[in-house]
Amino acid sequence: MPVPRSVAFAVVTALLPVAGCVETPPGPLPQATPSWSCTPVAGGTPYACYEHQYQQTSAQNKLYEEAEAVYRKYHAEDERIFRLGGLTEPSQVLLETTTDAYLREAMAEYRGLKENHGGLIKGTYGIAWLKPLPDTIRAGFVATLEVCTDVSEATFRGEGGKPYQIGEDNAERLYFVRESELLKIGAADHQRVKSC
Amino acid sequence: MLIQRLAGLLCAIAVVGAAALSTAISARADDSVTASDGWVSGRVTKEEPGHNGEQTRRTKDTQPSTQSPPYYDPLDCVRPVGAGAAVDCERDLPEPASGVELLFVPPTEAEVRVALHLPDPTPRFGPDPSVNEWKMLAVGYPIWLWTDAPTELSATATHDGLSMTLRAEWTSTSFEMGDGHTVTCTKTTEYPKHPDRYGAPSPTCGYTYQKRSKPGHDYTVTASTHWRVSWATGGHSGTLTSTYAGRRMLPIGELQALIRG
Repeated sequence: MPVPRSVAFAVVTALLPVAGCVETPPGPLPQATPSWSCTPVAGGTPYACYEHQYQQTSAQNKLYEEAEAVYRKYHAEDERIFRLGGLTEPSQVLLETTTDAYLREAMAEYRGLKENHGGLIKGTYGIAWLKPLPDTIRAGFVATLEVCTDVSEATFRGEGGKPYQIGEDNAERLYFVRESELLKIGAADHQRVKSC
Repeated sequence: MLIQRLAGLLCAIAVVGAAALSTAISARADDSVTASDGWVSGRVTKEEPGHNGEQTRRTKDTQPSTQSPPYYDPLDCVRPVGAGAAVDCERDLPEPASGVELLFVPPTEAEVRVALHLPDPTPRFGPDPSVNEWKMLAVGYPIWLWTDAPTELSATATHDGLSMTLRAEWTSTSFEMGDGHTVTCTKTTEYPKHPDRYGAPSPTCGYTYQKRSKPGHDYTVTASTHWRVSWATGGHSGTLTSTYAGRRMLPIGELQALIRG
């Protein structure tokens, strides 16, 4: 005859301090076994998981693939604008890939280039690496990517036409927002690093 | 047989408690990686090093105020009468047109939130469900709730070209438990490494589920941390509130004892 659950639970709790732990016997809890294979968003070895975990992980993987594509598109546009020597109004690609503070700050830099006749005059700056940070999501944002761009060797033209090289690389954390179904970079943190 | 069954259950619960310790430690280690220093709020630029960068900003120590032209903190970017173009501001303030006042735009909640690096709001549970064999907690078992420390923060950011100081104070956290109930706490207590008594409720912030989650539909627990943020920049100051939320899935199962007589 089954004992009421509350009684059984109380007995279990009361006996805990004197319990000797030997081998954990198979319990009566869920019988389902993980039969799906989940791939961590941040990379790593696939692991056995349940269907709902698989669906969650797949959705997150898809989100980060989209975020990476958005950033790569923006990065190519950024380099194009630097070669052009800046702009005064945002391009269509900028509007599709950036918004809010990030767009404002980018346009401030591009307008500065235009006014000062600056830009990229030699070399290129590629993406050295890019990684999702699914555990570093800021409120109001849906995804975070960390990227490092190899700008140390590129030659830029600064104020007065003077060429310069940065000599260091740029690391950036990009915070993405969903805006009218488009994923866009809305804010960022950054730091200069010796090398990517 | 009954004794054997009970001993099995007791061991399972003990494993949950012990393993919560290692998870808490590893979670702290992860946090320290993501919260590493050196990050500056805002988009990166490709300006020449020393042109406008943090590392080459002059400080009061290196620019004595007695020298001529007089020292003005470039971060404050104050342009006193007669200073003219000799003042090296981080960004020159636009000269107001005659009869027109410059409009000050206060910082937004999103702006201060990004600058502050608020601690991870992902809800934490004690005992940690991810470390037991079934990756779940049980109906009727008191769960301790908390989020990461610290509860006070300060930061410096740039707002509209001016230096802005920020001070944030945690005020409360609301935990939406996913079963329709919400718990709001103004104090929380982290689950101890060595609990005095397993099954004891949190002294400050906890919850006990009454229903198990459906298979494949774990409860989604959302923690919304509420902050009061004071800011000051360019002679202006103010206070605003900010909410930073994180979610975590939580399977809740039932422990059943089978008595065979």
